[in-house]
Amino acid sequence: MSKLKCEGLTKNFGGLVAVNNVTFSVSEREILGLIGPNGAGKTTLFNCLTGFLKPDRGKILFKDLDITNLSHYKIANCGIARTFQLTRVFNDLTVLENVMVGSLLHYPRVKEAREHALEILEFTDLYPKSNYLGKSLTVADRKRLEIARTLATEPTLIMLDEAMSGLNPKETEQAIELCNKLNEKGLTIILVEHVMEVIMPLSHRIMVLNNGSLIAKGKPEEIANNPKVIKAYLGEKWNAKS
Amino acid sequence: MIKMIRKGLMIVLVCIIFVFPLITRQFFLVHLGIMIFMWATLGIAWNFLGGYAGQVSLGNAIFFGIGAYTPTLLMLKAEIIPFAGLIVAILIASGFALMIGWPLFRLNGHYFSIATLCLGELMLICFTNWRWAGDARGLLLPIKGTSLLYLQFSSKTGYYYLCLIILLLTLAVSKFIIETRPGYYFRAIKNDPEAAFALGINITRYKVIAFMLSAIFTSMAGSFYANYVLYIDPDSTMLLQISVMMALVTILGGVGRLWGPVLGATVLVPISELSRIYFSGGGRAIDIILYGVLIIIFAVFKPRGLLSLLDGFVSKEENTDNYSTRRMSLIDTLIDKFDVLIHKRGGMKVE
Repeated sequence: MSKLKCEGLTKNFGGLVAVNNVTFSVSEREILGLIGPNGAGKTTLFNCLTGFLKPDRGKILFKDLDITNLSHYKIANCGIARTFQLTRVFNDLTVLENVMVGSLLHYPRVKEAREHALEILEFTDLYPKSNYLGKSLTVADRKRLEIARTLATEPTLIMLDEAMSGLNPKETEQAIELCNKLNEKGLTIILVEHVMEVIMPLSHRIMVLNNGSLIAKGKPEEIANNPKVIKAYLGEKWNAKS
Repeated sequence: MIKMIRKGLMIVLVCIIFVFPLITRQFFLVHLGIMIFMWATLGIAWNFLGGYAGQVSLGNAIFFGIGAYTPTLLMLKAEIIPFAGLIVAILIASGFALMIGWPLFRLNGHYFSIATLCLGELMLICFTNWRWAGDARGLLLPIKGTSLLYLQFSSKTGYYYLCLIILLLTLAVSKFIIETRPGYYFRAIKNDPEAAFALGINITRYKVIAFMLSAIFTSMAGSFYANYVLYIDPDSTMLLQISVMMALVTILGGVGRLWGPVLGATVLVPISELSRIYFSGGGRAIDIILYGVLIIIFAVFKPRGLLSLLDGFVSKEENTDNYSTRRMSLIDTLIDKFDVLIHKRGGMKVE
């Protein structure tokens, strides 16, 4: 059964068609990669899926629930969580408090929320930094904290918007490890990424977006050899390497 | 050792606050105390929305006005005792906050502040021209003698304790709120509304909750003020300056911190009262200039408020491993300043 289904989704910004008639679905426990050149509409698609933007046409189904026109805070209550391309950590709150804000959604009592948040911090290896203020973190830790914070809302589907850009190779490796750990826990993941070294081994399936339209869908190796994708995004070099 | 001194100081301070009006014969000092309590209450009320949730309101005098006018009008027109009037005032003020909150919170940042400012001015104009509510001449409350039901006392001592109770109540509620879910949500909204939204927080609802809390305690202080002064007019209850002062008390003391407004009021009220006594008159407005200078000084040197000066001394838990965010204590700062001074002197000698 598909976890999230999206039918004929379209979003215009004035005359510009940012997302054009996109149809896809994600199944339970799948890691779906979303790639495409800059300005392809990846983030817009994300914003539509999470209720930050209202799509002009199309339908989004989460399990059997129509979430097309729900406001985001309601979508978060259903179990969909997202991170942002540019990290949005609560700067004046400590790491623990950041995660607690997420936990409070399902644990209204502060004491329970704190315990839950500590578990999440343990799981995401941020525990030693619990008392740091958000603004004192490095980029890698900020991205990790964002993931931890969204996890605290106990989602079943998590959407990561470039959670690994700007990280050094070692940090990227740790981030991939975290993604796999989340997937093993039973989470469905949709991730937008530019780093091919991340998305190719991690994703079960990949979608390619170009100028707002879906130009290819399939297994990583199929995508890597798809002439359309190579022309639009990957370039000849990647093709030669794989 | 420091803990002992701290505890001792606290106990002495609390004792002084509680017996103060009984030992002094200076009515002015008691009046000063009352004003400090009232402004501290107003500051804490403002802090709910402006401090924790980060929505700067410049129209909180609306609620002060509602608080002052409702029991007074009910008393004069319908013979309802002020104690019941106070409860009606709280209901009206919070209802009003709810009503204007939903549309107003579609605005962000400065635009919200401007909208509240306009609403405050509108309210002032309405009340200045509303004949039934006493228009610009104001309303005189009948004197009923000492009675808790009438919220009236024949001496300032009664008012002193009444205001102290209001302040303590406000402090207690504030402490409770910031330590529970709404408090965390307020701070999240202040830091990054969109991220808060993404975490499933209905931000408009929580902003409205903060606004209503603000309205409740502001109107309570307004009712107190009316029954303390026994004469109200639009200019003494709804002027823009009153809204600004509420923000100022908090900003001076420390925005988004429990004891900030209390400290702010303790510093600002005596300055305002004394400068009014010694420098005002003749329309020279030196007191207001003095005020302005003070605010500029604080904005430049201590943007985080007076309370940040005391951090090292008062804060209970020191995060020893948290080196990057450790705040400088007062003593550290002093040593630092002193160091700079000595180095400067030394340098001059060499030259």
